[in-house]
Amino acid sequence: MVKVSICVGSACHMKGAYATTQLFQDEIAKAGLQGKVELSASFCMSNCKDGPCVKINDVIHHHVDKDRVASLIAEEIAPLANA
Amino acid sequence: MPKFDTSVQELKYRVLREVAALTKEDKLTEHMLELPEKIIPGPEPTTRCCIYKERAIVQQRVQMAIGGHEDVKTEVEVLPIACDECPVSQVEVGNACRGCLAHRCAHACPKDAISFENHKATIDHSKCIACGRCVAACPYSAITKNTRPCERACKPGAIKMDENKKAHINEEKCVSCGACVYQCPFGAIVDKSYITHVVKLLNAAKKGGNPVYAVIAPSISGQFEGVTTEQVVGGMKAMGFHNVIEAALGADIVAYLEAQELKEKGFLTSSCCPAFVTYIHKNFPGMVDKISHNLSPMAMIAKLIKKAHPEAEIIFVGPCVAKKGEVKLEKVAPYVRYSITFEELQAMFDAYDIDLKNTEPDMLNNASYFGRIFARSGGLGDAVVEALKEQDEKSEKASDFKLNAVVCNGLEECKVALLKANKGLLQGNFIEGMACEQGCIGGPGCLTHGPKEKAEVDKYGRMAKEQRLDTAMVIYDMLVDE
Repeated sequence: MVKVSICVGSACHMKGAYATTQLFQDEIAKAGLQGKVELSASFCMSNCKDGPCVKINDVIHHHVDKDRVASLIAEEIAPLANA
Repeated sequence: MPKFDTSVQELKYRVLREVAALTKEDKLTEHMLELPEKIIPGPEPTTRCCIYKERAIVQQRVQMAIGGHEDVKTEVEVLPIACDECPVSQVEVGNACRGCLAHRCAHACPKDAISFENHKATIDHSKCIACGRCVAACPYSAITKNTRPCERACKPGAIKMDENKKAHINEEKCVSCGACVYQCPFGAIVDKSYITHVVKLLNAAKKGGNPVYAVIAPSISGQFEGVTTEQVVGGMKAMGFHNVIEAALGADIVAYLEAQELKEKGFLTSSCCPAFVTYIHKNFPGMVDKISHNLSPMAMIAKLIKKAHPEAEIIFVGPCVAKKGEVKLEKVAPYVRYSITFEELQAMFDAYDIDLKNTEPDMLNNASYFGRIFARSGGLGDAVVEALKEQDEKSEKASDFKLNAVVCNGLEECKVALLKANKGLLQGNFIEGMACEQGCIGGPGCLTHGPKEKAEVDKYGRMAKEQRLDTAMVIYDMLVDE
């Protein structure tokens, strides 16, 4: 199970984290990774300046805007989920 | 100097500030006994007969600042030494008495307590039961009834004079709303403070202990004169809080879930205000099953924070005294450790030498407009209307449920609505109960209470990025499994 945690703290929220969340849910379904990815939220990853932040297992990825969601799933999440 | 409504608040604040500062340096036990003399240096007394009495009262305030007495179940306690200035005889005959022929007062008196001496009515206080019938009967309005400010403020009727003529709080009736704390002109009733507990958590966090999260009530807007809410958040982080999160985000979720529950059950009373909930438990036990099963916004958001960050120590900051008791409830205690007021937050800022005006602003923007306006009377009702609307948009068929909210501003209005509802006579299907007048912005733990507070809350609401409630449900759905 890949643990994906999206920061929804104020700073990340202001940069669009809610929309990202929706997109993650849709894209994970599209990639057929349901059941292999556990999507969750975090209230701060202490990297507010570089938000929106998303933690995949133990690695924090910065500047995860809407247009980076698909590539992040393809390049980072899918390999872990299918490993 | 921080801005308060009264000097009573300021004296309380000074005690809290000293206690917090000493706790921060881990020197409270060492220097606690020096505080009365430090706060009342003399040589002249300020309000009491002598400095020694004033110092004795401060000693009792210090006790309240470090948590009060554990054996007292209410969150408010009477300081016995401070409570002695109210007129002892409640009903008195004034100069307007003409010693008339009619003697309506004496005829009205059920205890035969009124006689006439030198053409003037005289009350035998050993017989008088202060029923007030003579007051109503006198055509000259010459008889007055003095009700103690605390007694008048206490809508559940929990305060009476004891045999020593001091205020006594009946634990069975008290809902810990804190109205008496704000209304006593001598500050003789005080809310228990957990400020030292919070400072100790921050001290521990600095040494590598669990991070401390603060959940902050939306009534914060307008509380700190001349600074923005973002600067207040910045100041809190400078004191060592790991994160500050809006209780209003929990309010968004609660309004959404409450709308769903309403459609299922057809009638509900709100669960946000802990004093209102306690009032129902103590006075309308038959209606307890009508209380919404949702957690309060504070407890809801804390539950989500705890889910995301199990190591978090969560404290609540708000205008509320009753919340101090709510966090001890079995269903809330796993999420929130302590609750403090804005008064106590101000004391902490000064104990930590935080100059808010020169503090870098931090961010606080998660909740929607609707979650934020929970802070004022009527806000919850508005939010539930919005939730019903949003839920209708999402379902194929609009619900035929129509909200008819009864907005109760203060415990007196709550009582009327509950009495009617209990008899099935209430025109409405949702009671929005707020124990404090105006809602949370009228809370006893606010620094200031003014007509501008409502406008401030609405303004703060409009500053929210989100204008819909269901955005908050995204977070709820990700963190709650059931």
